[in-house]
Amino acid sequence: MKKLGIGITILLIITLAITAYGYTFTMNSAEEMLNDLTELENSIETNNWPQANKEVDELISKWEEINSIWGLLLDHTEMSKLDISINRINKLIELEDQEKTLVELALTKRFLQQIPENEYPRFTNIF
Amino acid sequence: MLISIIRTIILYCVVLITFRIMGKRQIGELQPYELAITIMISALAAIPMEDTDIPLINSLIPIIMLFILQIYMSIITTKSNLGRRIISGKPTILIENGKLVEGELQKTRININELLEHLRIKGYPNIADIEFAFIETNGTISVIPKSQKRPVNPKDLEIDTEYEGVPHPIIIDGKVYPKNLEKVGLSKKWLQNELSSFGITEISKVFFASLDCQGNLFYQTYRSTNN
Repeated sequence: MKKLGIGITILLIITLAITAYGYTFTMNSAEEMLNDLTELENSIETNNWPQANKEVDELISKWEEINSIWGLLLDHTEMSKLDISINRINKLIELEDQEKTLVELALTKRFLQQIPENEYPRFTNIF
Repeated sequence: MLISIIRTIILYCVVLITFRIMGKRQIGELQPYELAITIMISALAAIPMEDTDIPLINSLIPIIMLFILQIYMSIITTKSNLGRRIISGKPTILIENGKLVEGELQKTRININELLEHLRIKGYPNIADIEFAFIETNGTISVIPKSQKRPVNPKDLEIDTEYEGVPHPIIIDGKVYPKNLEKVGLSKKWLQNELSSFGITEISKVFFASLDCQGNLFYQTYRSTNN
């Protein structure tokens, strides 16, 4: 019984550690992506398209890295929406369409803000 | 579709291991908290099988958490009397000294017809034959008959009985179980000699063989019923 108790406590600690890691990773990576999107937004607002192109490439490579872990933790439908949005931004930057790019950026930012908001352990999310 | 199959296999294994570690009680007669956990685990495993948009970890973590809670509950109910009373409740007397306890019947919301049905299933059609009846914490009804109505046993008749152990299966489906042979202090060679005395030259021809505590060998070959 004592061994079982110790084993279960170790399993509980591992489970909580995995959950905590998943939570902090989601929060930090969403924040990083939001910062990158804000920088990208600034570049587009100033019509600095070469800089925007560079930043969107970085954003896509970061997204690919994050995507592989988020896929294990978050709803796949939400992930697909974000993936489509990021690809749309990339194409709109190529086309140098300022208005549409800014709209898409605003939507993507909202999507990204919702992810940590939904994961945060607060009363409304629990119930 | 392939993902659903892989997920089903993973979840099946996880649920199987979970119930296996939870213990035999989990698949036998359940306590209220055990029933709740069993239903929840089944539901948690079923949803991500069909909905591949839900990450598997969203099901695995709750299943693991329920498993952990279940083990803690089991430890509490084993170690603490108070914990056991709070979590599992305590048995209720429905018939005491041959009389129905009305208050307890009302509290447990069991009507007389239901009680009579349970008693009939237990082999007591006449309520007058019962000394005590309890509703146990897992919901089953146990009955203690009046001493004049209980089955006669050898002690009542003052008959001496010999020790009766458990027969040990030593061959199942043509395969020898050496551990069981060791338990009774015999070897495979002895078994081969014994079988050859019955005209069986190969162990693989034996479908089932067991040895009782008196040393009697029972065997049955494939497609025949010897002994």
